[in-house]
Amino acid sequence: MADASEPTALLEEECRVFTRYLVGHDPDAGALAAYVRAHERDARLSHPDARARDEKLLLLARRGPRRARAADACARIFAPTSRLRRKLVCLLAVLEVRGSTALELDTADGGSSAVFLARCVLLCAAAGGRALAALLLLSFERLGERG
Amino acid sequence: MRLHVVGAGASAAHFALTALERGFEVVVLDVGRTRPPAVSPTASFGELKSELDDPVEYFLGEHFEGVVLPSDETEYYGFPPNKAHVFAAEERFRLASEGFEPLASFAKGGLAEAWTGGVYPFTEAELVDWPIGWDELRPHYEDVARRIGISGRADDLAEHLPDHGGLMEPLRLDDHSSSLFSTYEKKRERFHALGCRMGRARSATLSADHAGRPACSELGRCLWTCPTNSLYTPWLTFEELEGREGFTYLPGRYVDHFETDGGRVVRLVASRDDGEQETHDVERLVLAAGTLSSARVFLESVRRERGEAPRLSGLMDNRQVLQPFVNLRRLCRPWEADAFQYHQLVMTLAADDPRASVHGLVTTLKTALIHPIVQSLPLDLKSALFVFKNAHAALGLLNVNLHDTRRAENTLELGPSGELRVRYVPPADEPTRIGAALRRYRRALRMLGCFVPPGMTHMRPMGASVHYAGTVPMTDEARPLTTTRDGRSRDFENLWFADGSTFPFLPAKNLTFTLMANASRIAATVS
Ligand SMILES: Cc1cc2nc3c(=O)[nH]c(=O)nc-3n(C[C@H](O)[C@H](O)[C@H](O)COP(=O)(O)OP(=O)(O)OC[C@H]3O[C@@H](n4cnc5c(N)ncnc54)[C@H](O)[C@@H]3O)c2cc1C
Ligand code: SF4
Repeated sequence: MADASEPTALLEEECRVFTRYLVGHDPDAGALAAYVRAHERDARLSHPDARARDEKLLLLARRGPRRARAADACARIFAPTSRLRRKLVCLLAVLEVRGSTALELDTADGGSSAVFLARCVLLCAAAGGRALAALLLLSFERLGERG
Repeated sequence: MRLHVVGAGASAAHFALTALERGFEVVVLDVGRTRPPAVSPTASFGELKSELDDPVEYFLGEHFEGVVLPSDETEYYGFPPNKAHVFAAEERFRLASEGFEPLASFAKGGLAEAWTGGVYPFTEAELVDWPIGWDELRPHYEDVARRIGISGRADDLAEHLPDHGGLMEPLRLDDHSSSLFSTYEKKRERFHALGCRMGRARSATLSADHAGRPACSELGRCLWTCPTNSLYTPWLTFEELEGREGFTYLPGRYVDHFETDGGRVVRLVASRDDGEQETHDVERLVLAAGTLSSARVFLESVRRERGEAPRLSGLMDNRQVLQPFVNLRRLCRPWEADAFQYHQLVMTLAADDPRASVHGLVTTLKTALIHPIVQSLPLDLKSALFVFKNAHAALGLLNVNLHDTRRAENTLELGPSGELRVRYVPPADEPTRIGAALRRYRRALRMLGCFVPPGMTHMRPMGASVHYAGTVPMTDEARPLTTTRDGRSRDFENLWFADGSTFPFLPAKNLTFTLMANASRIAATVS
């Protein structure tokens, strides 16, 4: 158990969703264990956010890789030091030092720089769109809660 | 003839070696935290990730302290877990600071256990405020170069980096540095018209086997402590000294103060790790504990002796400004994994007053932990990863160093509970100097085909460069709180300062090569 509010099973499931978001497949057993261990040993990961909205971003992100990306895009802009971002960055650190995922994360796709630069522009626009979508989702959920 | 030396960093190492060679008996007292043993010494950075049983623990630490999590702090050092001993806090050494972010080390080898190995001699012009000139320092630069092994060459930077002898061939240039350098060579005249010159870095890293150490085999692990010792650290000198007759290394000793008979030091008082105090009778005492710690030992001793400690003024450090760049020709290319990690090129800016020239270190990004960089991009991590991996081979950093002078407002003094109080105020013209240097550097980077992303220039806080100097300057003018040209204190006749404390001026250059050469020079004159 890492934390009373975060049982191991929850952390493992979170790790699976976030790894699928970051690299497109499930984590191996070593990464899964390291992610849980990180939560046991580094209190910064379990420390809840002060703002309820930031905690909701984490709940949204746990619901699947696409939502994780939208919540992450939103958190990067509006809650850059939130628990969600801390957890995602920690997972990225774990994945980048493990031989099985290191190359996937940091190997250039090749191709032309012009196409790359064009894709960067599109990515920025898409990230903005995702951030907005996440905000809308959170707002609707809040309305739903009130209704 | 016996000498007690406090400290086991770069300054102490070369003081001790020269003194021993002169026939002195040398006793070194040091806190002496030690490095962990090297793991898989022949594996490259990439291979470690697959070969180690637990790469997560090696790279990120047992408590994940190597993970750089998003936070509001603007300055992060990101040292790997196996360097924890270098910066571990020492509770007996307390600091309070204003306008300065001091770093201190209590490791065997000192701060240079974590250095990047840039070794840059001062020029004659940069020594004008010193009571000694190039001719007196040059032979010691050469001796140190032969001891530690320095790769580099006399090139376009010859005026800025004078030839002291003893250089090895430069290291192989990594692909990115090589492409920058060849662009510079093609446009050399235009760069010179801008007052900008580029040349090969001087690095305390072996390009050929030397003194029982192998040439750099490009493992890309420099930041994680070179496992083959191709990259020099003073720890190596102490390992060598410990086997020699006449040399005694006493680790686990924190020196608090010395006692005097009024004019001479007679005793050194240290506390051991088990809390016990011990004293050492002293014939000659050499403070080489780093500028800040030497000052504390000195001030505490004077306070005990005279009831009141003076204030030391003139603290200097190089302001550093980090300018990231993207070499547009290298986008979408594979990055080079097996290469020397640190800077390989130097770009200087000339000034009317040669003491005010600017020194820029060009580091191209190769092996690194990527999560600190990826998280800083203003995108979700997935998008940021896409951008980063396709830009990795194109990324670089220019580390701009500015000179500093001794000024009365920059002080060290003891606080009421024995803490060292550091106060620093930057010079009034600093913003103008930084602005002018950055404008010229940005032009130079554009001439190299690089894009300079707006808003990403980072001014490091004072103290971050860890080039501390100037608090007990050497001068030919006899007055208290100074030393003679040979580092001998004017306050106590058998006390010497052999670290940065005595520097009268700090050019825009990494100072450690001069720390080592000057310490060796002082040891050559101690009597
Ligand atoms: C990340 C990094 C990169 C750097 N890169 C470069 C570079 O490329 N080029 C360059 O020129 N410089 C570089 N530097 C700076 C360089 O490392 C320092 O300037 C240099 O190591 C200072 O050496 P020193 O021997 O004077 O003092 P220190 O390295 O501070 O050594 C002090 C020694 O004294 C001992 N000590 C201190 N107080 C006491 C006490 N009270 N009792 C007993 N022992 C004590 C410590 O244990 C230690 O052994 C870098 C520094 C850092 C942190
Ligand atoms: S200096 Fe750096 S690149 Fe060279 S062998 Fe050592 S770790 Fe490898």
